Amino acid sequence: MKKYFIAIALLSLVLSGCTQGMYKWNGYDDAMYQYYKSPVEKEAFMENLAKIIALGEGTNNVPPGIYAEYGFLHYEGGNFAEAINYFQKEHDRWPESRIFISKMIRNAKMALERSAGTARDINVGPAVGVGANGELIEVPQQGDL
Amino acid sequence: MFRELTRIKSVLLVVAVFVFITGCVATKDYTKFNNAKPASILVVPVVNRSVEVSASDYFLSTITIPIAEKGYYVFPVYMVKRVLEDDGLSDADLVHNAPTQKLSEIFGSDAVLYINIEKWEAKYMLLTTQVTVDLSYVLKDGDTGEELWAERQTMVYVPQNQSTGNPLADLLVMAVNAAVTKAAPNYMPLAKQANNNAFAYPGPGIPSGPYYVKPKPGTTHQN
Repeated sequence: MKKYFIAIALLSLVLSGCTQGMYKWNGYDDAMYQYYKSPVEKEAFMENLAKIIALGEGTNNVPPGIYAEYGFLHYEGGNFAEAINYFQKEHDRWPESRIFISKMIRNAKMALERSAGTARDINVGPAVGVGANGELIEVPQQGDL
Repeated sequence: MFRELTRIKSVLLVVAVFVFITGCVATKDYTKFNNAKPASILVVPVVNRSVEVSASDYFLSTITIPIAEKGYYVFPVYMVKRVLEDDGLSDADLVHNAPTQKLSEIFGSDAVLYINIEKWEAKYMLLTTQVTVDLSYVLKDGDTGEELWAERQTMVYVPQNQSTGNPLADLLVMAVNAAVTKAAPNYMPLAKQANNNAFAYPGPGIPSGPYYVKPKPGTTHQN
């Protein structure tokens, strides 16, 4: 009986585990998990994303969201010029990202102008907020007006 | 004769367990999904109904790959979560209760995926520890807010013990394994397996998206 269960376990592993993928993820999931587990290791997550980009760019096949995620980590670190650079790549590669990423590019440009490269406590959001009745609203960001 | 019967029973049990594991019991109605034809999916922060506070962040790391590999544009989950947090939407319940159309409008997504962690637990039982991950998924249309697809997956792991032939030694090994699993339960393989099962198509999952390209033979999946 036990043998059957082992066989089932192996079979389901074979069926589900070895899917051939379109993208080279380079352990994106595990790297993000590690980063959530220990947020001081931001560098490791950034290195992982840089590697995914390097692996994908050769074949013009960087997975969706990776440029943006990498750009955003630069953004959080106050490196707005690099953030804009990678946001732009996401924007150009994936048309589906454009509405969201355009707002992020606009924010990063404003942040760059304001800070001239210095990291600072800033609002990173692209204009989502909670209204008086708990509804979602678009709110103007600093510098928008 | 009896041995034959036992054999048949075992096979039936195996089939039953397999159906349970894969979850492919009933075919879903994909009419709405196929009409909507989403190209991009926004995964919003996960609602956590377990007592493990980190479960939603940990789980979030597993969700992008299976959906992107199906040929969809998946919005960057870490970035989306941080952006929502910085705008005062750090409560996943609040995001889940917000109108789907509004979220879609702000992010420009065709569909929004809502996930609840129903269970994320390691239960100590006599000489063993049972690890359970139970997830529910609902995909809603960004234009209408209508449900396009829903699925629930429960994965259970119990550490396997090899018999040494010495009953006392076996008991010790089981006790140690149970304690080790309880001390550091590894939920991630279960979460990944749950996602793989949930999105598998044909099966309970979703059909391929616009970016899906059948991989050339010989290429391997690098996770």
